Parts: sequence; structure tokens; C-alpha cells
Amino acid sequence: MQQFLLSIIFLPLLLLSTVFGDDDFIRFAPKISCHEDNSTSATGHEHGKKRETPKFTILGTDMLPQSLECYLPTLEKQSLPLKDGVFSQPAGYSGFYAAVAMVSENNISKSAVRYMRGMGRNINISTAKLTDMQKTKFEIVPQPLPRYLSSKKYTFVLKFDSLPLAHTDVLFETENGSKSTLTTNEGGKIEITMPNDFSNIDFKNGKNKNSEFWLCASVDKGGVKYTTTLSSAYSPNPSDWWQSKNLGFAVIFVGFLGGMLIYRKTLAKKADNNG
Amino acid sequence: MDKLLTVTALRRVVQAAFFMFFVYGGYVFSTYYTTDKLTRALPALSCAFDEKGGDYCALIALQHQTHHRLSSLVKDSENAMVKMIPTAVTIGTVVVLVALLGKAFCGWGCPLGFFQELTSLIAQKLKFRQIESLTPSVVSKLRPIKWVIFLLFVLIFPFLTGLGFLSEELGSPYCLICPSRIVTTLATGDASQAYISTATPLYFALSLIADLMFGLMVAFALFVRQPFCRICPILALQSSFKFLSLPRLVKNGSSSCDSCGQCAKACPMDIREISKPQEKQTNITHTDCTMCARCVEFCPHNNVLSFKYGPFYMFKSSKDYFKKRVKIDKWWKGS
Repeated sequence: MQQFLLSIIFLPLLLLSTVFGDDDFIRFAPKISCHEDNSTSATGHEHGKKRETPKFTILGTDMLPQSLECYLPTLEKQSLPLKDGVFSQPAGYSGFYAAVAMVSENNISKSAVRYMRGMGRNINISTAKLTDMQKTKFEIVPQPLPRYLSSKKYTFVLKFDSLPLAHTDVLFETENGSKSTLTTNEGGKIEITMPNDFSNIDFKNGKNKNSEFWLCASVDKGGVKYTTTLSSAYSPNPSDWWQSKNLGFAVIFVGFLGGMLIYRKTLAKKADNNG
Repeated sequence: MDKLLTVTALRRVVQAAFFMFFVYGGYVFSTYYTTDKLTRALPALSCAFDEKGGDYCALIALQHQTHHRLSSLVKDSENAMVKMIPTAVTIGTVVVLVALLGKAFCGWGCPLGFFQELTSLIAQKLKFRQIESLTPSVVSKLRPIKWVIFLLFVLIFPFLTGLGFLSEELGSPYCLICPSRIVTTLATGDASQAYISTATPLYFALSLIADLMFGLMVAFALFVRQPFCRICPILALQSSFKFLSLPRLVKNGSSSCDSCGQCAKACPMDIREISKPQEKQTNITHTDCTMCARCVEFCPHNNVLSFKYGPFYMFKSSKDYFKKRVKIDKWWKGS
């Protein structure tokens, strides 16, 4: 009986791990663990200090990618030099850059996309153009591309050849251990609420530890298996940790009452003056 | 139908249209992304925290640039031109916008101004007794506050923070106390900006000021006209360039003006200076003027007060219009 129960629990997990077997996917990850490097602060980001150029690596393959390219905020494309399995985020413009890696092996075409924010010269090209343009045959497109926060809902569209792909499973996983599977709707969309799976938040010392999430999907077309991932960092939501809306509304109400008290006093004073 | 044909009625329509654009414009005219916002340097309190907005206020850009770019010039003058370009673009945009529409951004475009006027209109209908005007001593005490807020919260604190003299909380301090941040985000169904922060004592204090001020502003708007506008730093920013402004309030040198004070009484900002007679045609656009045109509407004399756009007269005071306007006002107030 116990064995039967265990098999009921573990069989779907086993199937899931087969469907989303790590071997089938490649994804971008920050080179240094985001727990050490990729932090944000409740007191704002520290300015005046020169930021180190963010570095990324590709997980899920021992091979060198057949193609590793970066779309600049200007929408121009340039190849990314890989050194010891690591590449640096290009610089020069303010806005989003998109790194795209592709690996083909054993009839599987794997791709990975990561959007990276950069600082530099302002350009007046919409980020929507960067996210909407086809970068790989099979792609998960964020709509829009925000700074991801826990407990907030975000929309993504799964596209094949730039067309939305309906009724396809997408695996959502985070570095902190959250995991779920979602299915795209008719428009190829999925909605995900980023989990608040952070622990040991030390916001007072300015070290809110960001985490990583990744979305993986696969589809068979014309005898070829296509897989894609989208990875990004996400941060603790201030509302979950150090900002209280209830207190905020209470203080607003106190302010309102204070205003009404002043109103009554002013009217009483006017009446006294007139009387 | 004739009741609707007034400058105030037209202004309400324009205010509603601007409110829709500034608060929800991101749905239609632009997108979520900063690069898609219209100017990113509005001389009006349309908040950047409202992700659905069509455009946002110049104050956030100025604080940010003062904090990050201008302060870094002191520490490192390398690439000075590059560092100054964003500030130059923001100020240049403000100058162009102020030249084109001047203080009409306040009276005709600002979402927070519209919110306060709507609150006031609702209160009038609910028969709240209105305090028609503040006393001259209260007005004179309130007037410098906008300059103090503008200089300290928009320029000096961010600059000193950038230099490292103040803690990071004061990098964009005006945004942290601005009531428009709360109004515009609440208008899109996002309550996340009505918060009390416990991150640091300074954040706690700033969030406390913001929420208290917002509550006070809503209460005051029920019985005082334009309570927040009187201390708004946008007025200070606009005033710095108002000499370039094409739209302006003009008083004609005329013996017709008998200093009856109707214009000053109509002014929601209690600018009593406009009732003084002038010997020749004079630009009387005051620092606090929001160009709502009520003074022109309520002037009982022909051609004494007028609105001009460059050399063109847009709207002049007249006896007939005054009579009509007073009648409408009485009808609205139910008296």
C-alpha cells in the first residue's frame, strides 16, 4: 500500500523530469552566484560606485553553442565572445540587451534567451521592439519586460516562428526551489505570479538577495525537437517584507481625520468671528 | 446647453482628457516602457510610478540626474558633456513645454490638480461649507514652501546624496512624499504606493509624511480650493522659465478696473495681486497662477483681463460673460 502511494506521488514527478529533462535545455545564468553578487537594497542601489560588468554562463551543455549573439537596445546584432565558458554583458547603451544562445545536437534544437539591463547612452527605441522581434525559432517572450518582483503577476507568450503556440506546457522553476508547470492558452500566453520564496532577508543592511527563475518549454515540429528557456533575476517585493499597505492606509486615514478636524476648527473660528 | 459653453466647462473636458492620457495613456498611446513615454519631462505631476501612464513628470528625471549625473561631475569631471546631456535634454524639454503651454499644465493638464478639483466639486454637491479664500497671512506663509520643496527635495538633497553626504534614501526624496504618486497609482488599481516603509528610520519618516500629506490633501480639497497646488514644486520649476511662456494672463491699462476684487475672489490660488489696476497692458501671470482662467471669467468689466497666446487674444473678460458665469455658479452651488 505504501509503495502504491509513493508511486502515485513520484510517478508524475518522474514523468515531469523526463519531459523537462535537464539535458534538453540550455539556459543562461549569472557567472557568480546571484546570492553573492546580484543584490538589491531597500535603500536604493549604491551609486557612485563603478558596477562590475555582469558576466553570464550557459548551463545545460558541454558543447560550445553554435551561435551566441546579443541584440543591442538599438536592435543591432553582435556575436558574444565566450571566454572560459563565460561572456560579459555588452555596454554602451541604456536599455535592454538580449543574449541568445543556440545549440543543436541529436535532432534537438536548443535555445536560450536572457534580457539584460544596461546603462549608457540613451536611445529612443522601444524595448517592445526588442522583445517582439524574432530571435530564435522557438521563444518565450515577456510581455512586458519589467523588473521582476515576488508576489506580482507577469505574462509571457510562447512563440514558434513568431506565432503564439497554444496548449503547450511551460515549466517554471526558481533557484530558491519553487517549481510549477503551466499550459499556454489559445493566445500562447501564460501568467505567473513570482513566488515569494526568499528567506533571511536582510534589507536593513542593503543586501536583499535576488534569485533566478527560468521558464522552459519544448515542442516537436517536423521531426525536430525544439526547446527554449527564458531566465531572469527576480527580487523580493518590498510589499512582502518592509512596506505595509495596511499601515499606509491607516496613516492616510489619520491624515484625513486631521484635515477634517482643522476644517471643523476653521468653521468654528469663522462662526465665532461672525457671531 | 448654453450652461456648458464656458471656459471652465472646456477646461474640465481638457483636464479629463489629460488625466486619461497621463494616467492610462500607456494602454493606448505608448507602452509600459520608459522609452515609449511621450516626453519624460512634463511640467505637471504625472507620476512615473504609474506604469500605465502616457508620460511622466520632470521632477523624477531631475532628481535622478542630479543624484547620479551632476553630483558625479564634482567627483570626476571626465566625460562632463556626456554626463550633462540627460539633464540638458530634460531641462530643454521643460523649457519648450513651458514656452508652448506655460502654466496651463497646472490648470488644464495636471492629474493631481484635476483630482483636487473633482474632490472639491463633489464636496460642493455634498453641501460641504467651502472656505472661499485663505487669509493673506496664510497665503504669504504658504507661498515660499514650494520653493523650499523644489530646492531641497528636488535639487539639494539628491545632489548631496550623490556626493555621499546623505544616505541613499534622499536620492529621489520628492517622489517619496508626492501625493500624485499615490493618486495616480491608486487610479490604476495599484495600491502598492500607499505604504509605510519600515526599511530604515528615514524611509519610515518619508512614507509617513507622504501618507499623512495625502490624507490631509484629500480632506482639505473638500473645503479649500487646490490645497496641494499651493505648495507644489512644479509651480517653482515652471516659474523659472515663465518669462518664455507664450500663454499669459494680461491686464489692460484701463480705467474700467475698479479693484472690485471679483477676479481675486475667483482665483483658486488666492492671488490677490491680480485685482490691482494697471496703468498699461501688463503681464500679470503670477508664480502661483495655474491659468485656470477663472479670474477672466469672473471679471465684470469689458477687456480688463484677458488671456493671450503670444500676440493673440484667446479670451477676454466681458460684462455679458460675467453675468452668465455668475448665473452658472449659482446654479451649480444650488443657491
